Formats: sequence, C-alpha cells, structure tokens
Amino acid sequence: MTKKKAQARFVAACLAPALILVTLFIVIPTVQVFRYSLYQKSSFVGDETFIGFKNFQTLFNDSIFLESIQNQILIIVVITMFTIVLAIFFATLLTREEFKGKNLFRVIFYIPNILNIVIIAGIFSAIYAPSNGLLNTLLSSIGLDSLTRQWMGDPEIIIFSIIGALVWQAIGYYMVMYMASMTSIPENLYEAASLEGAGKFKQFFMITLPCIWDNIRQTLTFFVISTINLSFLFVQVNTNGQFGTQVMLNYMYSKAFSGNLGYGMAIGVITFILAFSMAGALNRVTKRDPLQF
Amino acid sequence: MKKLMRAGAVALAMATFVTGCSSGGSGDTAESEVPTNEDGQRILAFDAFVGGNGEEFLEEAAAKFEEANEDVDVQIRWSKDIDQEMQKDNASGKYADLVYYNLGQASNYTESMLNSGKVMDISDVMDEVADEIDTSITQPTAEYFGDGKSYLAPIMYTPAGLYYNKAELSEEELPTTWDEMFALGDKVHSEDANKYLFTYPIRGYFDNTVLGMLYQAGGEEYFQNALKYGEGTWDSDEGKLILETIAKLVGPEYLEKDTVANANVDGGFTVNQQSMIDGKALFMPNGSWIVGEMAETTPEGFSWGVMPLPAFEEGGERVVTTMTETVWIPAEAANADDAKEFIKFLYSEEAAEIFASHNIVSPRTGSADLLADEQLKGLFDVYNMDGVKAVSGTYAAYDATAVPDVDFKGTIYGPIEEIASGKEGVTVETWQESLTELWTTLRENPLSAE
Repeated sequence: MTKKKAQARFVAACLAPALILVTLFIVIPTVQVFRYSLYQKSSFVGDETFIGFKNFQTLFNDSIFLESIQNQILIIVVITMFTIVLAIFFATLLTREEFKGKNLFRVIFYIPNILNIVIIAGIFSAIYAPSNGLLNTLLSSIGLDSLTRQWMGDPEIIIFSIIGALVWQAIGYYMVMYMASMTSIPENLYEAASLEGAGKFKQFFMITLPCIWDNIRQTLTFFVISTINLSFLFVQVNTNGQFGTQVMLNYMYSKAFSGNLGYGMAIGVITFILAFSMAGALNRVTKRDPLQF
Repeated sequence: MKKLMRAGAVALAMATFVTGCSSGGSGDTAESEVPTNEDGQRILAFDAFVGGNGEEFLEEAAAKFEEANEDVDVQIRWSKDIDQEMQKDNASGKYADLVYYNLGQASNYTESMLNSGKVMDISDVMDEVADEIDTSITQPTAEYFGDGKSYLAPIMYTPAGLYYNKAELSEEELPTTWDEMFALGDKVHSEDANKYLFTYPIRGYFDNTVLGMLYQAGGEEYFQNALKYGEGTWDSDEGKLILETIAKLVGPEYLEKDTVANANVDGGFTVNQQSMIDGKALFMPNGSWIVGEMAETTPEGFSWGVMPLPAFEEGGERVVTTMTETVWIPAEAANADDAKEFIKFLYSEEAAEIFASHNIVSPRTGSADLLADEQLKGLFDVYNMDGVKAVSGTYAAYDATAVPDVDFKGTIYGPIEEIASGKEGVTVETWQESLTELWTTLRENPLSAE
C-alpha cells in the first residue's frame, strides 16, 4: 500500500509540470477564447460587456467572414488534394526507383519547408510578377504567351496563385513523412508481387498505398491544421486579406487586434470548431483496418 | 487516481492564481510617482514607430530636450511593431508617457486608444503653441473628436498630392482639370503603349486622394458633412462624381497594367513606385517621404514634383491634402508633465531645424523654408501655388465595438482595385451603394461620450 502510495505520488510529481504548463498555456487561453467570444470587448485591457451569441449572429451576416470560410475550405481541400498526390508520387519515386542524385532531390524537395513564410512570399512575388516574373517569362519563352496572367492581380485566379505557393511549400514535408513509412515496408512484399506478375502500378496500389494508409490518415489532420496556419501567414504577408483572399485566421487577427477582440475571438471559436470537425470527419471516413506486416 | 486528480486541481488553482496576478496590476500606476533612473532623472518613456522617417530626427530632438532639461531622461523605444509591444504592455497595465504612432495604421491602435478614452486631453499644450504653428494643418487631426479638445499632436506634415517627374512634365504641361488629365493619359498611352497616366503603391494610398476629392466635389460644408458620415455623402451627384472619376482613373486605359498585381504581393508597393520613377506611369498619390524612400533607385535627372488634384471643372478649386504624423500621451502616463513639455519642445524652432535636417517638416510656421534639399523644398511650394487649397481632415470616430463587421478601409478602397481588375459584379453603382450603407451604419453608431 505504501509502495503504491509512493508510486502515485511519484507519478503525480512527474505529471505536475506538464499539467501546469498545459493548463496555463493551452487550457486557460482556449477557455478564454471561448469566453471572450461572448463579450463585446475592444482589447485585452478594454471593458467587457456580455452579449451572448451576438458576435456569432453578426459573423454569419458578415460577408467578409463568409468569404473567409469559403476561401479557407477551398484552400484546405485543393492543397490537400494536390499535395497528397504529388508528395506520394515523389516519395514513391525516391524510395522505389533507382536513379542518380536521389539524395539531392530529397534535399531540394525539403528545402521549401525550412524556409520562412516571408521568404516564400518573396520568392513567389518574383515568380508571379506580372511583367518580368519567372512564370510569365517561362510561359512566353516556350511560346505559351496566351497562358500568361496577372497571377496576383486577377480576382479569378489570385486564390489559386496562393494555393500554388502553399502546395510548393508543403510537398517536401509530406514527402519525407511518406518516405519514412514507405521504407519500412518489407522488400519481400514487392518481390513476391513482382514474381506474381504485378507491375509497378499494381504494386503501388496493392502494397505501398495500403501499407502507408495509417500514415496518410495522420497527415490529413496535419493538412487541415497546417493549411489553416500557413494560409494565414502567407495571406497576411501578401494581400493581407484584400482582393477576395481573406482567410479565417487573418480575419480573426485583423479584428482581434484592431479594437474588436471579442469579435475576433468569435472567429477563433469558429475556426477551432471547423478545424476540429474537419480533422475528425477526415479521420472517420478514412478509417480502415490497419494492415500488418 | 484521487491523488492525481488532486494534483490536477492544485495545478489548475496555481495556474489561475498566476494568471490572476498578471492581470491584476493595473490601475494604480496613475497615482504613483514618476519613475526615475539611477541618476535621479525623471524617465520619459517614449514609444515610437520606426517608419520611413527613420529614428534620428526624434533621437536628436530628445537629446536637445535633455540638454535643456537636465533632470529628464527621454528613453525612446523604437520598433516597427511598436503597436504590438504597446498592446502587450497595456495588457499588464503598463503605459508609455508619450507615443509616436499614427492614425490610419492597420492595427488601428491609436484609434482604439482614442475611442476607449485612453488618450490624454492635451488642449493646454496645443493652445500654448497655437501662435507658433500653422493650426490649419494641426487642428483637423489634433481635435479628433471635433469637440474643440486636442488629443493628438501632429508634429510633421507632408503634401499628399499627385507625385510626378518634373523632368518629364513641365509646369505648363500639368493638367488643371480631370478632363485635361485624362486627355494627357490618352496622349501618352497612344504614343507609347507601355506608358500610362497613373499608378498607385497600394490601395490605401487613395485615402488622401479621396479626402481631397470630397472637398473638391462639394466644398467645405459637404466635406465636413462627409467626415461625420452625413447623409447625402455618396448617394449624391458629388459622391457619384468622385467614384466615377476614380473608377475612370484606374480603368485599363489609364492605370499602369501591373499595378494591381504588384499591390497584392509583399513589398510590391515599391515596385509600383519604381514603375512611376521608370516612366511607366506619369502620376501616383504619395507623400514627400517618397524622395528619401526611393532615393537609391531614383536615376539622376529625375526630379520629384507634386501636383494638387485636378479640378472637376475649368477654373474649379485645386486641392492638395495634407497628411500629418502625430504623437500623443496615454491617459495613464506616469510622467505626463514632461511629455507635455517635450511636445512643446517638438514645436520649437530648434526642433524644426533638427527635423528639417532630416527632411521632415514641422507644422511650425515657415518650417518648410528650413529644408536644405531644394527638390524637397519645391514639393512644399505646392501650398503656395495660386488657387490651391490645402485640405486636411480625419473621419469621425465611431463605436467600432458595436459594429465589429465594419471594414472601413476595405469598403472605401477595396472596390478600387476590384474595378481596376475588372472583377465581375463590382461597379461604381455597387461601390456607391456599399458606401452609402457604410455611412448610414457609422452615422447610427457614433462613439458615445466617455
């Protein structure tokens, strides 16, 4: 009994620092966000008036907020689609195929991920520049003048230009994650498959994909969370939400720190719920029995 | 398990206690004594925004002030993100004694502080210096609430007109009416398809153009009415004239073709400014800081000039908007007395000379003559042009917390680039409607008296 007691005390002592930190820096701020969203409050120090769900009522009649949700979902869906396909494709190439400079490519793909978002913004302002930008110059030089566009100046395509930059940024990270789980697939599975006459495609769909399925599921949650965060940073640095490019966290930031903290926190609450439910839904619909090997 | 839960409860209680402590310390600072440094000098804590004007002009002024006031130590904290630093401080009840941060910034920090009654009334200071400064420049900004009391101290000003290259356009060639302006645009664009009439750095630079046009379109009364969100501002002939003129100006024939795309990327405003310098566009709205800001990439032979807005009709009034930058004292400042003395000093002859040596013009009468740079001095000559009216004003305060979904700048300036890029469904009419709606909302939500 005393031993058990001592053990419990030890466990409690070990957990306490983490528990205190989590409470202090995660639980309390999150609760505060939910609380502030019910108040009319200009800043952290301003007076507060309880107004119930009025902030949320206003939000759902706020055309910019609705636009920001729309953009946010579009960005998450398109980025996830493109990044997942490209990352798995490159990961397969780099793990399953033999060619010169494999390691170099691995590094090159990963570089965008370690770059600061401000640098990425700088790179893409050079790529998308209308008259002397890399993209338009490349298109003209290969005779595709008709495809040149005002990438950041056309309301119809600016959101896709932003998505393009974020996909470029994300591929390397996810590629490395998929490569890690692909290398752990036993080689004999592939050998057996090829003896049975399965081609590369069949091997990919029958072995590689099922074996890394759990890994893909985990990354789906990352996609939702990191896309929400990175699109905020990228949009803030470039358009700052103007020109129909508003995203949820940027709108939250612009409201919360310009004298409407309560309203901003209400946006934060919706973002929180959206991120959670999207991640949850993705997790649910992708549930399969894990493949053991 | 019980133990664990108890440990959790203790952790929670401790955390609440710690956070409780951190937000509790405000309120009693105003009563406390002025803090002093090790040498016993009273500290004047000055939070300043680092912008295009650099730091030297205020550092030197502070040093001069300290010379004359030996018992004061001016401690300037410079930051590009000074608003964020101050917000953090404010959250724990800490306030500077003096702040250099302008109206109209993205964070709306100065406006929020004003609107929540956290800016000190400095009417006594402004009254004292009134005889020495050009109050037509300072007053519209200083008296933010329009109640005759001064809250902000504009310490510098600049003509925010249309900037052009004097080497390219002689004074005789400058258009005096909008018709002449557009005719000039047609002429240059037909001669060279890559040359346009106009560009702008980013859409926010239209603020002074819109203010000037409001004055031009309807005169003083209409202008004042518009600043107070009066009825008939936008759903009137005057309002429509303004919006139509801007829409035409940013049409495909007149706006430099890459302007919008550049305006929407990080640092793109300098690309647009450069394209004007490179002669791809004749005019752009800006301020006199442009001379220093773009000095490195301005070729020899280029000569900055500024033109008042063209008139709407032949012989009509020409207007140049004056833009000011301000300092203010937080209501909870511990050392407001020295801060007030320092503001008075900033309006002195001595400070004006220091400012001028850094190409900055104080609103003190005659300060523009102190500029050594002839090009820059020439820019301030715009105020001496015949028939030119200097206009200055700020939009009235409104209760921003009551209408959190209002996007003031987005509603006024957003449609400009949407019209410029030909966005479907955005026209002068929709712009006019949304502005009328915005003005009604703001009129109905005035700032209640503190």
